[in-house]
Amino acid sequence: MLGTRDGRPAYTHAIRVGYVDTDAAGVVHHSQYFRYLEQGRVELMRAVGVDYRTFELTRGLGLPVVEARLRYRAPARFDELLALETWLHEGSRAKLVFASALRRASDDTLLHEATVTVACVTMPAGAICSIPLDLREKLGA
Amino acid sequence: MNRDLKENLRRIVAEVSEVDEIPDDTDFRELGIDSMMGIEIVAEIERTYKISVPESELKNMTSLTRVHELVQTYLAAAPAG
Repeated sequence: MLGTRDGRPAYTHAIRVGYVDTDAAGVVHHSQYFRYLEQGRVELMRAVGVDYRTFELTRGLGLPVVEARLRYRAPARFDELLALETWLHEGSRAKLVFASALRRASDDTLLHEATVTVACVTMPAGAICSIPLDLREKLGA
Repeated sequence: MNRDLKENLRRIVAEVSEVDEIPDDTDFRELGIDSMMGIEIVAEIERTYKISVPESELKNMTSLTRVHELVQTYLAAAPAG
């Protein structure tokens, strides 16, 4: 579902916690949140008209993560339905900083907040380059 | 004016990179300024001076002196306004 956050496009998508996502303590392992965050970025870009796979293939560019920060507030458990909202917090020629908020759908409890910074590189060389202007504009930078 | 420009550029590079001392001719890599920081520096210079630096020039902005030379070139070519 596409909405807005701070005047920029924000996309919320549903995640059903799989058994494979949880650890021996019965809660979602911290490493899984990075998968969720990646899904959030990909879905946000799709919602604003940028299919990430096509972006990579046609432009020869990639958006590697260069920094990630997560703040855990409450655990998520197997089979819970979560809602992950993702939006662009800050964008420049050098980087895109995505923000996200993960909530439990049943009671709207905030489970974690995160920011993930990506740069842009040429592929396969991996040389740093500017974030394309049209991508920044579509994300509201 | 020219000296002011260079000092302003030194300030921008120092602020973005969080490196206190930016000598004129020391390679940015020796100062710990990586390529991503380099793009951030260029972005800040573009915002400050209302110029557009093409992608092909990024690899040439390797020291304060080189940045100064390139910015002078682009300022001279920019339309008056």
